Amino acid sequence: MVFSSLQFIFLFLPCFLCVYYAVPFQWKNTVLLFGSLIFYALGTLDKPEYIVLLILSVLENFVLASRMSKTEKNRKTLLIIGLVYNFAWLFLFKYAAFFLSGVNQLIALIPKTNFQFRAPELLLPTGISFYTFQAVSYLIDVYRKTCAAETSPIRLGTYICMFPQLIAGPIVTYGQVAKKLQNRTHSVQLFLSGLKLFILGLGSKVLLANQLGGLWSDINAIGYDSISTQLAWMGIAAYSFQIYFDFWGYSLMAIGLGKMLGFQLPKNFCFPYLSVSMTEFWRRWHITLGSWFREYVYIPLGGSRNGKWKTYRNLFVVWLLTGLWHGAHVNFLLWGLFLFAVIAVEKAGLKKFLDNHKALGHIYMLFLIPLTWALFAITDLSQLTLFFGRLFPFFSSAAAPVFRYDFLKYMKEYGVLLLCGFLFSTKFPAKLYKKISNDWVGALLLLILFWASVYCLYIGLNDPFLYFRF
Amino acid sequence: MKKQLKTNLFIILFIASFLVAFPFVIKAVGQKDTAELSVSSQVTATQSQSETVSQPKTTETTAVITESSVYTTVDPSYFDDALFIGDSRTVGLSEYSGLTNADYFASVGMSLYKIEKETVSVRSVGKMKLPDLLEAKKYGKIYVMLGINDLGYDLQKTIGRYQTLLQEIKTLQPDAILYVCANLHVTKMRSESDDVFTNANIDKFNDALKTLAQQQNAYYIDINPVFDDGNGNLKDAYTSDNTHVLGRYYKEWGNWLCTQAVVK
Repeated sequence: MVFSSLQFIFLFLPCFLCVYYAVPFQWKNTVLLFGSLIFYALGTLDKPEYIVLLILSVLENFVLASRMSKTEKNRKTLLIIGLVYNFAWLFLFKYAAFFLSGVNQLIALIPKTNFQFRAPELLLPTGISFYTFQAVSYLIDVYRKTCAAETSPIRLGTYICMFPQLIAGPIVTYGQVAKKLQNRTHSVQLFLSGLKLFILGLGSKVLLANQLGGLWSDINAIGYDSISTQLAWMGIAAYSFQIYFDFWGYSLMAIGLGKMLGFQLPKNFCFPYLSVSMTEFWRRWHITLGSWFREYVYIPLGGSRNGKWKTYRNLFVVWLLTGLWHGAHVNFLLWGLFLFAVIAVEKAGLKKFLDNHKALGHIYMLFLIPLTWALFAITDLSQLTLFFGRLFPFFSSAAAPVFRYDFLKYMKEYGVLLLCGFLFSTKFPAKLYKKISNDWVGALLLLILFWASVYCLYIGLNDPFLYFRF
Repeated sequence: MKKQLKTNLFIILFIASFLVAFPFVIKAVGQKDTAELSVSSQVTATQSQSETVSQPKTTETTAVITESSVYTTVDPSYFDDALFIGDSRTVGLSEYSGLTNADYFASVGMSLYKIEKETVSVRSVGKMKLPDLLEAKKYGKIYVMLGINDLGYDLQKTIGRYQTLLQEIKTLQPDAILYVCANLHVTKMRSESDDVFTNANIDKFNDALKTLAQQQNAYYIDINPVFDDGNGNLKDAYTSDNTHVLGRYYKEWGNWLCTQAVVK
């Protein structure tokens, strides 16, 4: 089940909130935990075993952390057991097939061997990348004694499973919600403030992201070899906007829902497209993921404290893993490595230059952002090469496209949306909203946003892949 | 006090609109699910009907039209006075086939139930409805490729609409060679996962079209053998959205059309 669906907004959420607000505080965490498990089950109806996996993960991490806090000797062993357990499931579901296909390719190089591993065809359990990372952060924090082990399995379960952040983050550390798990207040003001955030996130996803995604899917339907250079750039711009407004929208909805439940979930996006360097970008984009890698990979490896070469090595590991986290495919590896290369160059001095020449920095990012997203979006390497040949026609020998003025047609259809994409990447709309948010204008705007989104969801324009326009 | 009023105003308006709309939304969501079910059951119900009604009538023209020797290969100038009427596939032809000399009256989602009223911009002629276009310009050949967007409706009713359309075209353009084009298959994956858009349903519709073409003295041409995978599905490699061919294959489509020409 996704937040941007009529079933969630009109059925699940109202029912859940009625029960949640009705029960006294000592039952709220239990209600939230069970509500979240139901939410998860409703989204994994064809694979009911996945909810068992989630529950086991909670129990296993609870037991290990409990034990860790009671002993001084075996802490490291317990931590390693926990890490292996958590990552083994993630590896099995997400990376086994990719790993085995790599192994198979190596075996194929050996002459006279016909043996090939058969990769298991497994459906990725929803949210596993997120809840695994949350569970691991909890274990490591308990190991480091940054926080005390949670004494109640219900509270730990609530932390790991609560539905606002279960499926797509933000990745929350235990410390960020520990106090609120024990004691939090609810009020009409808080509910309203959460609802407003939810509506903004919903609008971002349904009215901006889903609509702009139409252009990227149109281009894919035509095929990269048949589009003009202008259309290729428009397409990757549309994709860049789609991925941003989709993810940002979802995070806003999550934070809004968290607020309704009395939690203060961390911010995940801070106008990333206003960055002047890639380094800055990754402190503004999917902030909680960047924090996780910094806290649990970069710093334990030594961070930037052990000399230049070790710093670059640590950055390399972080970006390799970041690429892999996003997907088990060669193009994600390439994407991660490319980001490493850019960030390494920036660290070597380019960043300083860009920070001092912001206009150039903006132009630099104006090109780098869509280009890195192209690496991210296109999984097939030959298609990727084809697409880059379209973006940079002077490097390829491809002929001019048959439909020479295709970009004019799509500019008519998507021009206004693309402009909106640029506009909403800046701070202007947010600043304007802040001025009117407590006004009747703001209230009216939110109502319009909400009902426009609901309408779009209803007529199926929410998903360009579902709504087949013949 | 005023701030509280403003806050309360929002929450009152929101909850009020929520409560008012709630039954409608629930009803709509529920209806959408049942509508999809009833559409597919309609299609299966009419299938048995069409088998008894649309039996091919044997006339002299039937024998002539089904012979492949009636088609010759021409060069693209054949399409100087051609008109293509259709849906998004025809839009694709207009953009990627290379047959830029022809006229196209097509739009994404074009339906047999809406074709009379829809206004389309036809290059070098203007924005107009189909009857007006047929009165404004004389065509030597007219291609019609429609039906897939109406697959969820009653087959007989849709064929009836198609028949009306062909008769109207013949009345307004009596000298034009009329081609009825088969609807393109979808991929195996789409066919197996959809209730309405299956290749079995598309084939049933195309069969009815073949009969209709024979009755109306039109030529029935079918692109599917060119793009099929050997099992009656659109080949996976030719598409990325399981429904339309990639841009480059419209060029092949255009070349194929050059081989399916009737010259009088």
